[in-house]
Amino acid sequence: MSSPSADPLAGPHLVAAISATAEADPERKAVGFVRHPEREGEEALRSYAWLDATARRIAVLLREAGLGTGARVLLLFPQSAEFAAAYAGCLYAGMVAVPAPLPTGTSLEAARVVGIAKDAEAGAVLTVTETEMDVRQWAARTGLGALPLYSVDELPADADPDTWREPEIRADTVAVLQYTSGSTGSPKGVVVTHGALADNVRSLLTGFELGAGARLGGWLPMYHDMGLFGLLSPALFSGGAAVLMSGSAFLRRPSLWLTLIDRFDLAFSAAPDFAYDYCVRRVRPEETDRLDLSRWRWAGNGSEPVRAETLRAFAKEFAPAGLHPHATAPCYGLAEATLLVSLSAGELRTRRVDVAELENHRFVEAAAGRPSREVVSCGRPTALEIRVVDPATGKPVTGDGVGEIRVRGASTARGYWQKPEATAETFVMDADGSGPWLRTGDLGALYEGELYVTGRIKELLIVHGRNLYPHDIEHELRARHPELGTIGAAFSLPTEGGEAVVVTHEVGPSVRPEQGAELVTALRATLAREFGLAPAGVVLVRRGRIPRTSSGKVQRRLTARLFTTGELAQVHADPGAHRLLAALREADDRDGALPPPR
Amino acid sequence: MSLSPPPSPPAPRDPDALRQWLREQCADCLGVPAASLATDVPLTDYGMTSVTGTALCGMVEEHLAVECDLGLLWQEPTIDGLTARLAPRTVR
Repeated sequence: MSSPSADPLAGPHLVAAISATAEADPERKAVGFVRHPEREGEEALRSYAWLDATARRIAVLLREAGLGTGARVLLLFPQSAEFAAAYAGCLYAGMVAVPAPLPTGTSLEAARVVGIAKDAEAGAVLTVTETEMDVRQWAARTGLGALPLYSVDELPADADPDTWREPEIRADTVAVLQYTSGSTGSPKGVVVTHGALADNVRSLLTGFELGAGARLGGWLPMYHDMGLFGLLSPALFSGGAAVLMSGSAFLRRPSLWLTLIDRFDLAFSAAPDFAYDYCVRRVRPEETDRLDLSRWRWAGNGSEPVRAETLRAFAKEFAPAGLHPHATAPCYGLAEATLLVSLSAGELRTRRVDVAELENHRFVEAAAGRPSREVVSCGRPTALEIRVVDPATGKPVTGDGVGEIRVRGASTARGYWQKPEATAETFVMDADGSGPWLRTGDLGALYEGELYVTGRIKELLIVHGRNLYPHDIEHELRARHPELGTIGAAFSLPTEGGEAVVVTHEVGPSVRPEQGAELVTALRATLAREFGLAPAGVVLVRRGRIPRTSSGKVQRRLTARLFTTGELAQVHADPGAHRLLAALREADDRDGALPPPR
Repeated sequence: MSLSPPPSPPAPRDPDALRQWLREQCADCLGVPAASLATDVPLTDYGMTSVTGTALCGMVEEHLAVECDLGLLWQEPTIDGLTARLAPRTVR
């Protein structure tokens, strides 16, 4: 098979890349959704000719519907090849793709997508026939029923692909609004330009030495930045194929993900840390026996903290299937940098650092017998520049210092869509007048030129690679459980086994301590159903005892500290909270930092 | 070494066997000993979420050949409740 072009990475933007491949090699496979990885083969994949023709028809249709250059188009899809056509179609039209989850899950998800549609001022909705009824009902119910809505697998016949003309696309033309930031009530769309997209995708392809025609894929949803910019976009940019399956199929039978990688020759797949741990625990030996993972070059691990023990266990578990010992690749990135900031391709590198020093913001090798934490290297920056600064002063830390990770370069986003204040807070000039630097809100250190992520300043919680906002959790609990008081605090604590989420909330005056267990059970059910969250501990707190600022804002960090020192005035703490406290005290005893509990 | 159970255990013959089988599958999904799970306590108390719940649905569908989705788990949050709902469809 001939290569689509001499250097696929030289293309200026995704539209040029897709149309060039479609012209040079129309039958080349571009994208596919695989329902049964064990049974399906190449026939599950659609060609570049299909992708290009469908994208043209969508572009023509959107224009005919009266949408102009730069209009925002909401993409509400199940995992499918059609998503790729809709995404390409928006870009072919010179419009802005706004991917979001299907609003057919929990009521909270449905509300979140309404917030996205309104914030982006979406001018149209694209979906597929399979979900069209559900999406129409959601739109009608939420006051969005007037938006034009099309199913891209049944486009009107009069949308003639031959009438499409390539729009003017410059580096600063907006391509995508990526809504993974901001709480439900105040969603923030990261503005990703064509220039940033191309730059970030190139950095992934070159960083992992994936050349022309690369095959990438997996189960990450396309409304997630790691799915859109880590799997689909690089595959299409390189003239290769994106091979997709559903996240639910992965959770039901994780071996199907590995089967997909094997049968479709994927060189690259990526997932959050939990997915690799899940495979180690749930793929059966006889399933591993049937796999050949020797052609899987990179298992990207990102979007939640990377744990060394997960990587080692995964490499060991699947070595018999031919997995290369250095295939696991820790990555660091965030939507505000389009996706990728740094990657570690090669041998796993970690550093065992002193816990007490880390609390003092120093990244120091632990002496023998001292309490320590193993931190994984997320490698070197790809195309971006990284700087670690004191978050208070903005001055670069020196020596062993730990500080806020800041990033700048061509693939940092232009800001948040129509949110000048939030943009100004996040994209800042540094103390030395350089910038703009993206404040990641993550803490880390640069050691021997490599990035080690050690924690977070921002109050974000990350669960299974999804960003959760404490405010959303506290708000939803109050809305559903009137027994609760007016303020709560959800936070995470670092432990040896990873981050432990604790949910605390004040209770109303009528709640007696003996009713605590029942209320916690109800809260846990809400947390599991609405957020997929199983906190390590749930604590009910006496009224007025969760600390606030003078302006009434909840002080989550201070609440966390009161919890760990046992000073939070509890009405009821569930067994998980007691276990967590005991574990924290045991670690502190070894450290000798705190007196033993009375 | 994988901790997963052996493949295709025999289909439970009666509600008690089904309850015990569900308890073992829940324990496996949650990574805890089966004996630690009371059958009348909501599984979310033990940390069941949409992720572990989907895994459980996968086991139920694979081995009992009945449809199971998260909606059922949220409706019947205990092992006893699940047993009552699944038994008429699976126990022969």
